[in-house]
Amino acid sequence: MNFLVALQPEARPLIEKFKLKKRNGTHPFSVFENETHRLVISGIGRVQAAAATGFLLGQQDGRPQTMINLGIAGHGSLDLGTAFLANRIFHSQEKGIYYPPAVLESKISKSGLQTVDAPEKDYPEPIGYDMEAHAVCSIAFKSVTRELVQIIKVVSDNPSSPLTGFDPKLATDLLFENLSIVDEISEQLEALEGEISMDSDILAKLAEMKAKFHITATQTHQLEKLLQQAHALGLGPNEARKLFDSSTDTKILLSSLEDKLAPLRILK
Amino acid sequence: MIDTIYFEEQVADHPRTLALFERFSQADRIPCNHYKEVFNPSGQNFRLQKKKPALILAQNSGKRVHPVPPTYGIGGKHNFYFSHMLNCLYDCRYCFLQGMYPSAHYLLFVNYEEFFEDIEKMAAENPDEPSWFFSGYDCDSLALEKLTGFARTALPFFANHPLAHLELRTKSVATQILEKTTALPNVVTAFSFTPQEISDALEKGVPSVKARIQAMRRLAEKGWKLGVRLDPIIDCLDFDQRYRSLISDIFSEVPAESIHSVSLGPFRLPDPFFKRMEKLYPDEPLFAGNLDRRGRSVSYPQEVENQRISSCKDYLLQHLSPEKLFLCQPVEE
Repeated sequence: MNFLVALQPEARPLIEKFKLKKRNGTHPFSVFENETHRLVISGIGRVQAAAATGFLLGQQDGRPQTMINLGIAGHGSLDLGTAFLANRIFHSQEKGIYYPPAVLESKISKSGLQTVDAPEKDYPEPIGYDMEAHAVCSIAFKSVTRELVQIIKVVSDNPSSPLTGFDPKLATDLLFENLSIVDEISEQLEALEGEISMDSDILAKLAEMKAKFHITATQTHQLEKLLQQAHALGLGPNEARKLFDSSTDTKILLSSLEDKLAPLRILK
Repeated sequence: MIDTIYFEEQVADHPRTLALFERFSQADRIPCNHYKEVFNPSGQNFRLQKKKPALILAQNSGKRVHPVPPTYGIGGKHNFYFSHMLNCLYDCRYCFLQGMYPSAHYLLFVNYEEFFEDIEKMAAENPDEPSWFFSGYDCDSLALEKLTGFARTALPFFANHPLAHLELRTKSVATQILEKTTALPNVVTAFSFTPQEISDALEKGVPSVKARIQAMRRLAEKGWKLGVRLDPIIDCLDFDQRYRSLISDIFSEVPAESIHSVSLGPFRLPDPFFKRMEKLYPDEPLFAGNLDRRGRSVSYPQEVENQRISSCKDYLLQHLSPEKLFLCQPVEE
């Protein structure tokens, strides 16, 4: 799971919850991570958010990935402390409007969200106002499955309690209070990711074959496909194992896999 | 059933939009300028969206009625299709919609009346012969009838336009609107089938074969003309026994005189659609089956296809006169 937040006080609850460690060395953005989570602090505004999103996604290995942009936001109608999922994200000077697909099962509030270049103090519409989400979507949606990118904001100011300035303690407290919602959403996103990711057994077999034989890019593709098909057609792991052990090179392996699958290709 | 409704601002006040807002009063309503903002972007995952499709309400301002390829049809000379809705309630693994559309959301065009105006104009171009209008290419014609009310609106129009013939194509048993309406001679309700074992494996959410046959029987009793669509024909273990028994089950329940037409269509998909579908469902045995690339399509090897079509024809001709049997040939490329 990847998180992008604008400021350190917004990151703190996640860093503590997931016991994230700061990455050493020099990086364009601060990175906190453990084995399964990565968090990048972008700084405020669209340019920073776009650059940090690109940086964060550039760290990945090409498999489907999940991402949450989390932070505080103003809102024209929701109460302070309310967490919401953004369902329509726009910027007044940008043509693109983003609609993160509504595939999650959650009672969390949903709201439109306008990304603005300066804090919104008048709250003209009953929607949220932030300074990063549009830029995050503009980059993330180019490379990540849209269903796996979600924007969660927590209301820090509204018409009855307008923004006076950034209060780091308030930001941290509000996000701490809503961590269970973030957890719920991130678990669902990870489950969705699992559904469209390649089976881990297949990945392991591929890695094993790559280590054992010389294998070209085309053969990697062919082997990946045959392993997927073997899985789909119910070829037992022991049978696949026997083929691997008895093959002396990639060509023989591909051909014996093909032969083994041929009689299984009729739909039952 | 519907948790999210996207709507074009231009249809915000349309009576059908308002009725759907009222019906799904708990759904989140999200305005958009044009449905393509929501439906068309790349990078959406059809499989994930299919778990919880949203409803998109829009107006179709483009071409609404299209010619049907010449190798398709059920006996008429002038054939057209139209889609008041894109995507389907059901989740059939072989369905080309998964490969064609970037989104699994139900896209409903609420301007039915403009569809009817176009149909009227097309039919008027052939004033002495019937023109056929097929409604079930991009959606199931009846499965979401309770939501769309499309058939309820269309039937009175077709009652007044006898030279415009309508095919409603469905796997649904939501036939109440037809059962309550006096049968029209220019409307055929065509039910699609695969054998029950194949349906169990590949047609998620689809009513049982038995329930569909019962629905056909009810419509036959009310005087409606019926169609049977064995399209796509899916090769499988015990093919002959399964298809023979399916055909026999249909014709033992549905009187032959109610059958307007039967059509057979081989399993075929344009290559880019197949690739997308295979990527969406890498664990699907159907896609790992014995398939060939022919031209720009993916289908069973020609010999297998010929054999399977021929077997089905033989079984069908035991119950049906040949002039009612049609083969939907893929368009040669």
